[in-house]
Amino acid sequence: MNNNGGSMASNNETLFRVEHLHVSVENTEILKGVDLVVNRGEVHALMGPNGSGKSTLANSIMGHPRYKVTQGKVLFNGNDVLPLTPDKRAQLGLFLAFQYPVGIPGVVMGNFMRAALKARRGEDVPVREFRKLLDETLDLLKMDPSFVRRYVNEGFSGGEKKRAEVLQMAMLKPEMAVLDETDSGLDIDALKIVAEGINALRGPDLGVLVITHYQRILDYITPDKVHVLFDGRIVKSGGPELVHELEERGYDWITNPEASGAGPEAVAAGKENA
Amino acid sequence: MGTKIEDVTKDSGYKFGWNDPDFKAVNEPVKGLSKDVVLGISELKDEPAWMRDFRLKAYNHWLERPMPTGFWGGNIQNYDLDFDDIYYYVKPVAEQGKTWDDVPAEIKRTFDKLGIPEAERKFLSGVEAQYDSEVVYHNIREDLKKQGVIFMDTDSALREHPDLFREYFGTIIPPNDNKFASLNSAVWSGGSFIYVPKGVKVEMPLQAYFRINTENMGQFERTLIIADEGSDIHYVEGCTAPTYSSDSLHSAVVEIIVKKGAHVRYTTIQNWSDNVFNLVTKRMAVYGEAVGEWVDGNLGSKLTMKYPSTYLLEPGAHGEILSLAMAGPGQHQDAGGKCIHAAPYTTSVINSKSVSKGSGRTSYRGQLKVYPGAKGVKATVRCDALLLDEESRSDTYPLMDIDEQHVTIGHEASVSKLGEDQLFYLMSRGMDEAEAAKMIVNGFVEPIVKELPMEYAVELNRLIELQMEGSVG
Amino acid sequence: MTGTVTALPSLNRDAVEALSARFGEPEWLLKRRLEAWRLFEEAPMPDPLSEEWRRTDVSNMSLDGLAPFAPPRKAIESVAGLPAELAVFLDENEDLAGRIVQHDSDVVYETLDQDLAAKDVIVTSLQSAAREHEEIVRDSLFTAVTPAEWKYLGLHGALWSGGCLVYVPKGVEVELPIEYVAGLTAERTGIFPHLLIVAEANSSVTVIQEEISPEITGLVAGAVEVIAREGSNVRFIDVQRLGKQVQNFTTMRVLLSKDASFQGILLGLGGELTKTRLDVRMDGEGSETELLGLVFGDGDQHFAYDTRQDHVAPRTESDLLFKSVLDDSASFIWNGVVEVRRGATESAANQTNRNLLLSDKASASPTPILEISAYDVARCSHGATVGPVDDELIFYLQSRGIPADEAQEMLVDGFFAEVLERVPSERVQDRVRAVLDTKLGR
Repeated sequence: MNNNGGSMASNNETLFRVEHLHVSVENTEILKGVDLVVNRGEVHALMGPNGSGKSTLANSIMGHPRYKVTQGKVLFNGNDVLPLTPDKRAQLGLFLAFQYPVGIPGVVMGNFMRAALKARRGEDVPVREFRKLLDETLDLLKMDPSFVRRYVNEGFSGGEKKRAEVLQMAMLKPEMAVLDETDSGLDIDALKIVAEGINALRGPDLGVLVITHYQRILDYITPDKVHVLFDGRIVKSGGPELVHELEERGYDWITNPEASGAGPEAVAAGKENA
Repeated sequence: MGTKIEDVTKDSGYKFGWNDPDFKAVNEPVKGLSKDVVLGISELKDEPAWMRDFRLKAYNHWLERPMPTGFWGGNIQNYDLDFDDIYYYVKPVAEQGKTWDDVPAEIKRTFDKLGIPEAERKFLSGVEAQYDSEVVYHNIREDLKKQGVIFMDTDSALREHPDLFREYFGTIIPPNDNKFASLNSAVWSGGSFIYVPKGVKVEMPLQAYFRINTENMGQFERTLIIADEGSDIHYVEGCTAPTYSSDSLHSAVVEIIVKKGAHVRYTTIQNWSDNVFNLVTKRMAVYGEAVGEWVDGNLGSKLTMKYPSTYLLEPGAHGEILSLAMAGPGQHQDAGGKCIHAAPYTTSVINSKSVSKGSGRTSYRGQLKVYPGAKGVKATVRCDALLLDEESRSDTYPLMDIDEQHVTIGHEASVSKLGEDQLFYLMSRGMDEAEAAKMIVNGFVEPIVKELPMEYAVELNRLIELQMEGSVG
Repeated sequence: MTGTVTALPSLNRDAVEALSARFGEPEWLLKRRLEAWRLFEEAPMPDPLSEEWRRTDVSNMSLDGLAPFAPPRKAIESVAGLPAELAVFLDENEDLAGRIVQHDSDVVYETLDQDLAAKDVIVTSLQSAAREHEEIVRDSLFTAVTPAEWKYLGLHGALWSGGCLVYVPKGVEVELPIEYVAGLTAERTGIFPHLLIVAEANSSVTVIQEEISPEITGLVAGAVEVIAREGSNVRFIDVQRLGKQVQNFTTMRVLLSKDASFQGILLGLGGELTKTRLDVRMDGEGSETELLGLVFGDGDQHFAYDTRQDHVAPRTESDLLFKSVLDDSASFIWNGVVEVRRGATESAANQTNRNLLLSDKASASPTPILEISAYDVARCSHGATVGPVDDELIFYLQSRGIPADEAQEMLVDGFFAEVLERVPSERVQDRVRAVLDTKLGR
């Protein structure tokens, strides 16, 4: 495995593997063969222009019913999770931070979190332990305790929604977390808080896939590996330096084969790293 | 002799509102409706027996049915509309115009008054101008003919395409559908007939102008559009009428068949004079993956009762209704639309905007119906109303009958007055109040106006400005 | 008494006179009853083709063989003295300011906090109030609703019995709720409960009305009149927990004077066919209305609600939120009118209706109607939705490890919460939740 020596935490144990994934939405193929490996302890960044299929990948990993997997596998700890319903995947330790978390009127955040934690652990969580964990996490994310009594994502500002997603991640302690554009719609202060939260959760057992359109969140979360998704395929992979290259040169040099001097097929395997 | 219509050609001696004293009606018009009048119309037109029988059957329905008093309608029983005081058939000229040169000078003058510019007339891909009850001018561009598109007045279509005509006529709106559809079916005359063959896309909108020009004369045109599989057509109907002192009646029927994968848009801007009763039945049958759209603008008439309907009959069918109503003093626009979801995975959007001023009243009346088993239906209705002064009134009556679980149905409506803050803002930039109000109203109706062909949008904005004059202050 | 088999009294004019005689009513009241009976006889049955009734199966609205009243029921010392089939619905020790319990045609239990009684608050059966507080009853009874309105209200005007008068004098604030319970146990019998609330200027009161019955056939055709004078504040909660073969027709009208406010919460859970009319007339400038509704239908239950937010005076405000969850073959109709009359300037009105369908055979027909004749409206809007539980929400909860069926339950609870949380009585909240749990098979 070529991981550019960027990861201190990686123990080279394969945690999560996407194999040749093809996904269609309403009969249009969006993902056209995605391959991706995240080792335990690694943070990967997935970048790409709008419409490249980033959110489709995130939703497919979690098992959204609208996204039809036509080929390929998603292996988590060696087991294919594709036959599982989303709740089973979550119980195993997969986590998705949504790009657009939906509002759920009438369902109180606190009750929701307890139900989720119970499902993740497979047993009831004592009230005292739950409160303690919740208070600590709220503190970590600089969130107001009144937040717990509000309806899930209802009337939340953009920043509150994203923080609430990270809060859930912190509480549920997944083994593999996919963050779908968690940075979008955040001002710089909120972004720092969210990034700090994520960094605090980094560790030798957690794998993270940060999906983003912009490089700015990667100023705060240093990835071990960076992938570029374009037209449903990963067309380039590299180390953290790829982020800066993208910042300077944009996506065109990768997505436009003439300009880059190499066809997308040539780099699709992701082995032609600089 | 009584009320039998005879084909006489002597001067009628009628005076017309726009000082067209030279105008001559072909037959002696007779007021009122009877079996003899119905038979007379059929005879005069030399129709086949089946059409004569169709008219008679419809006439019997007309006699049997009570006036609508229930949910559907704008309380027509409260108006003193005397059906015996109306002409049911008036034939303006004996021959049908073939080219622009053949069109009588009086009628050309009327078009001038309507303000249809010369350039625009040439632009029109096929102008059908209905003057009184008959089509007098008819021109289809050669390339339309080459494409196999049939575009003619409905009477001619009955003669020239009898089989195609009979296959579809009266199938979407049967003569006993409602009181006014019965009336139209009994005495119909004129209107447009369009057939678009499979896969043919008509690039330019087809247009027809209608006018009422005989006092107390009912106009009962009948339009039938058949868009064959994969075809595409936009038909535009516009009406204006001069003002008369007593009431007129306009009761049309429009039937449209949108076959698999076809697209039909039907645009109407009506600006009947404010003594006209405008009681119209319009319905589309939309089949698999096809799209049927109504763009319906109501500015004129005393009372309009019109709810264009879209029947979504096969999966993937989509219906859209854009409704715009503006009611000034003494006017009641009772308009809206219906979307009937009779098949799964059908979708519809209704968007209504209305403006009331003076003692004007606008009512949105609509229906959303989802049959059992029509899974995956998505339908939204959005109604916005604007009140311009203390005398105006706005109502919203949206029916929803949902008999299927797996659907997404939403309805939203709002009524507001001319925003003080908006007025103030515009006036602070130097506009006077009337100008500012005009601008706000134009902005309010913009989402619908932008769907109109350019020349119509211009005309509509002009009409709105006329309506708005003196409405503020 | 209940065990004795006697011939049921027939539904006719004589029954009206017999009922009046049984309660020793003054002459004026009998006259009113007989006039109402005349109106009842004249009025047609609902027209199944009319817009209002076309989705209600009026063919099973029959009065044939229905007894106009039940045999007399004896007064009881406490709620525990009620027959078991009613007692199960109620707790003996409640934090209440007063309580009136009607069993079939008679009020059998009355209680009122002594301090309130000392302040001249009246909570008593309408039947006895007709004698003891004749002036109030005479001036107010059937002023908000009238027997001429429709057939079942004519019937109610002729045959009402028991009933409850809540009278709150000027400036008195009643903290705890007052409860009026109407329980039906007599088979094939109609009862006609009547609640009359008169809140004098600057007073405030909360009244909970409960209609209850075991699983029997019968009719409950009630009326509620609320007269809220200047600056008063009335909260009214109606909990309908009738058996599933009982038909329920209730007409409620609220008249608001200047700066008065009214909160009405309708909880529809029981009954075979429920038809409720609720009108609030905001006659006084600055008056305010909040209407909340919650319906859970299952089996073949049919619920029809007609609401009217009638803005007569300037600067009046109203807000309505009705929610229904429909399972099995249950059906729900809501016709909601917002009327802003000419001159009711600067008024604001909103209506929102949300319907959740849990089964393929369930149906909902919301018709939100706006009739706006005032120019200077602050805002008038409405919205209605119908659909199943949103798949996106299910997915979100599933992605957090919560199984789909549990997620659906959570969402149904959440759907209710928005209304239930605004019920100003935890006791009522708990009772309603218990009924909902039973209906959801928990």
